[in-house]
Amino acid sequence: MAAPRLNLPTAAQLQAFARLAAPLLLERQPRAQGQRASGRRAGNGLQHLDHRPYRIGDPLRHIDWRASARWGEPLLRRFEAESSGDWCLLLDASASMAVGGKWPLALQAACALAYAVLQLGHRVALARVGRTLQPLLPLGRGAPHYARLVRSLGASALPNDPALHWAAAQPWLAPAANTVLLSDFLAEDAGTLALQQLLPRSRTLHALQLRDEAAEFPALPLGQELELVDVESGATQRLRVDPATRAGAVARREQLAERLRAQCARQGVAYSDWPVGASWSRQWLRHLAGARC
Amino acid sequence: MLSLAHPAWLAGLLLLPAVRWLHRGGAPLQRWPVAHLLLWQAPASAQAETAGSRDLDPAWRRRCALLTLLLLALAAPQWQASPRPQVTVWLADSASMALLEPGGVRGEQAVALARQQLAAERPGADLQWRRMSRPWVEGLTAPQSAASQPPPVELLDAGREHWWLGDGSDARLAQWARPASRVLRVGSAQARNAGWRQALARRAPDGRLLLQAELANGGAAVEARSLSLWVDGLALGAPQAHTLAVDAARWLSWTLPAASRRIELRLEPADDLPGDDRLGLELTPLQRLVMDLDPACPAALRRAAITHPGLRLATPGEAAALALRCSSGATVATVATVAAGAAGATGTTGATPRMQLLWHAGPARQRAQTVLGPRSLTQFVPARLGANRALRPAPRDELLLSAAAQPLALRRVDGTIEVAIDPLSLPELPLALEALLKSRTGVGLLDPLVQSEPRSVEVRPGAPPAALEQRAEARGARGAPRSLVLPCVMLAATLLGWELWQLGRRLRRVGR
Repeated sequence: MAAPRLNLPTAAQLQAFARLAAPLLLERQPRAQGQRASGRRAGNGLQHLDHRPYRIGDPLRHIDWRASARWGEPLLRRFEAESSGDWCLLLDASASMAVGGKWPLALQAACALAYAVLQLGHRVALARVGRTLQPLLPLGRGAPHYARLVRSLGASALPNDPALHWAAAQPWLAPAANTVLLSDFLAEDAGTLALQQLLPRSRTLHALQLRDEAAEFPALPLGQELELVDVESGATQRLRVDPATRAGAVARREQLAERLRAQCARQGVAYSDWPVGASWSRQWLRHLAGARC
Repeated sequence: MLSLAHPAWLAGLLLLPAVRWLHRGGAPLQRWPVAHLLLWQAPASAQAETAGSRDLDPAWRRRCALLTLLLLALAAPQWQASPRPQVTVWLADSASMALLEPGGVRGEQAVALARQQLAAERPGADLQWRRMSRPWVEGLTAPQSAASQPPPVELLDAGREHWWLGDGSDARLAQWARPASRVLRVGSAQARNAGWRQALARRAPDGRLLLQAELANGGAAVEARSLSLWVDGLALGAPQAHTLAVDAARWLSWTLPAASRRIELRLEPADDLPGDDRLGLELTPLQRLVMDLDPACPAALRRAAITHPGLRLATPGEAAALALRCSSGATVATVATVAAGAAGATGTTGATPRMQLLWHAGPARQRAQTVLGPRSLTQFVPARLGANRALRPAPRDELLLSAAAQPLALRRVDGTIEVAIDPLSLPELPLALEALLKSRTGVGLLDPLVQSEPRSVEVRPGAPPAALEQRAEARGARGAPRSLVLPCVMLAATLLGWELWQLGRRLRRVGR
């Protein structure tokens, strides 16, 4: 399938967005309820950060024996990470993303976030996830990396994968990276399984649910019996359309979104509902602000 | 009547239920792509309804009709215009068909015989009766015309059988354009009849009328008859007895008073064919025309008018049928007018006429045309005929007479005939006057003739036309069966076009 024509934000729009988003992206991590906010993050480094209880599998050489003797149980010494943040952007490449304006919105959002975090010196990687993982761009930083990102997005075809397996992205994710999922989360599990699979590998996890109601809930001809075709799986279903049909579909969509929203809240995943047509910069800023709360 | 050349193909109609069964799945559904099927779930009741039996695809009717038409076309339907035989019976209605025979009138016997034969050989036939009297109208009650003759070939419809019905006594009616399908001849060979065949009369130079009549025996035996002549309702002389042999004919002559207006010839006793036992003749056309002569006319012209056997000068106060004006300028509008040239002019005289005026002592047997003939005026006028003055013809004038490139008589545009003949120079002046009057009135006055239409008195049956039994041909001539394959194929093609159009619509819908 031919690559769609990109409608990316302009440089001025990106710079304005980056200025506004920079305070929200600096060392502020989303957290679950009850968690304490921290200005630093643990990682590989020399600077001591804090202690935490030892868990099986932790390296023994990082056990602080003196503190363990005082505390009465093994404590592990943690160090402050010296590297900058890594951001892994995962685009849902299932065929349902091609319905309506969801895919162009996903590209705009990915470009805007990548530009903002690259401006802060972070690294960005990009991949499409469908039936398999399709890496588009490895981790990198700097303006040239943004240019590569734009080129890779421009060469990327419309999503048409018949299935979506988020687990395929697990090996590709950088350790302790910030993972951003751009998807419509149209699945029977409402994407909750993806959260469970990707959250352990991510330092922070962002779920951006893209929606295009006009395209997802077309006005079907009333009174006719139709054969609905799933654009992803190709499965068909006969349906006699009545006035309640569309309302039922909208309600089921809301149920899926609510289920995803609740799961994100439970697991500390930053969630946003992105309708097509809304301003991408406003949506990003609102999302990042919400993620810091 | 509808028939099928290959009816076995209709067994294919047993496939129609199968066609219907194949459409049990209903019409093809309109496909509609959606982002995810899980959003579109019908209510349980609607789901059960959808999963149940669906209506038949309406296209099954169209396809069944298409199959039916194709099978019909293969069965080769044919249309026979009419299974009933179509027969036209031509009745040779000569006078002899009115003969009273022992079994009845010959014509009625013939019709009864034809009906009997038709009932036996062509039951339920589409029957048409025609008489051979012109104009060959349909029906037995049509008035009979004396001019019987065989019908022209245009009336012998090739889609019908043609039966000839008659006695053959009139040989003309047996002359057919093509052999009849069936010939029915009636009549007894012993039939007897004597009758008047024809009569004619003309005017004698002395003013009396000459009458001739032909008596003939058309029967099978010698006939003796007593004949009498009635003039204006009164018997003229005593009845005469005549005996005629078989096939004999005799001409009889009478001289009648000049004032006779109608005669009737009678034969007694009457025989089996009474129609020809009497013969009447109107003599009024033989009366002289009354002419009003202009006193200014020259004496020669007056003498010519007086000596003309068909003219009589009007007495004072008597109404005239003709008027002759000689340069007087007066014109009587109600009568024919002849304008003659001014008298007194000099011209060539003394010429001996090259032709003599033929006055007959009595009417000839032949028709008058053979005696006098429709001759042109120039035939009676010598070429050396002189003119008493020069006539100047206008472009639209009609030249009636000329001599030596000199116009002598002209018909002007207003109908007036202008003559420039020197009346003193013509011994033929009465004949020239007759020619001028004839050109003006349209009738000849010198030797008028009245005659009756010749009759046939023969009643013995003659040879009928040759018959040709052509039942098979006649049946074929009713019209070959008309094939209905093409209409079936045309209808099927229409349905096929409709089917293709519907398929195209579905493809476009799926493509969207």
